[in-house]
Amino acid sequence: MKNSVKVERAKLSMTQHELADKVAVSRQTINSIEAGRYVPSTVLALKIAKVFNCMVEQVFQLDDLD
Amino acid sequence: MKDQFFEPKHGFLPNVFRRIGIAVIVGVLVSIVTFKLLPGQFKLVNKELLRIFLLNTFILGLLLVVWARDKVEDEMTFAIRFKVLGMTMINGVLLLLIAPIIQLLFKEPVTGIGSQQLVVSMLLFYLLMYFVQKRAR
Repeated sequence: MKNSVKVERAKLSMTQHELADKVAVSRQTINSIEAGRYVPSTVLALKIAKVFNCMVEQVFQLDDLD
Repeated sequence: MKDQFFEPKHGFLPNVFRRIGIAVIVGVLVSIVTFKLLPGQFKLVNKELLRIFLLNTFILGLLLVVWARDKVEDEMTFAIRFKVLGMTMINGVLLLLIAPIIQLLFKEPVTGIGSQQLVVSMLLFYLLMYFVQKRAR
């Protein structure tokens, strides 16, 4: 699964730590999601999309391997 | 929205128990070194009873470290714990199977692995793999 968390976060000039605090996870988890090492749960994906004020599909997309 | 599956606070001890566990482990190690360095001072102590007591206390310390939650416990740490738990179980079974073969190779009495040895090795393996997996993320 690919995602545009880093791009969306940059648009809002938000740090990983700030995003992590808003969705109640660790900064390490946000870092892993951005790097594609961890696929978040539906709940967390929805929370992240809500912070960016957009649809979850805009932030997380299936790639060819999924 | 509350997801019960990803509610990692449930079932774990508060983070302070990790420090208590480390203190217990350090205490046991210091005791072992003391008994080894000053054997003449503790002649009245039943050695076998002492060995079991120290080993059980060491296991308790490891259990507290394993059971205590991280400062920030979220769904990723929960996923890591789940993965490492599976690895630990497989490691334990393999150790159980391989131990008699190793004893045969080294021409020792084939007694298999003791329950305390198995528990200690599984707890140590869990801790090691947990921190390795966390670092790798």
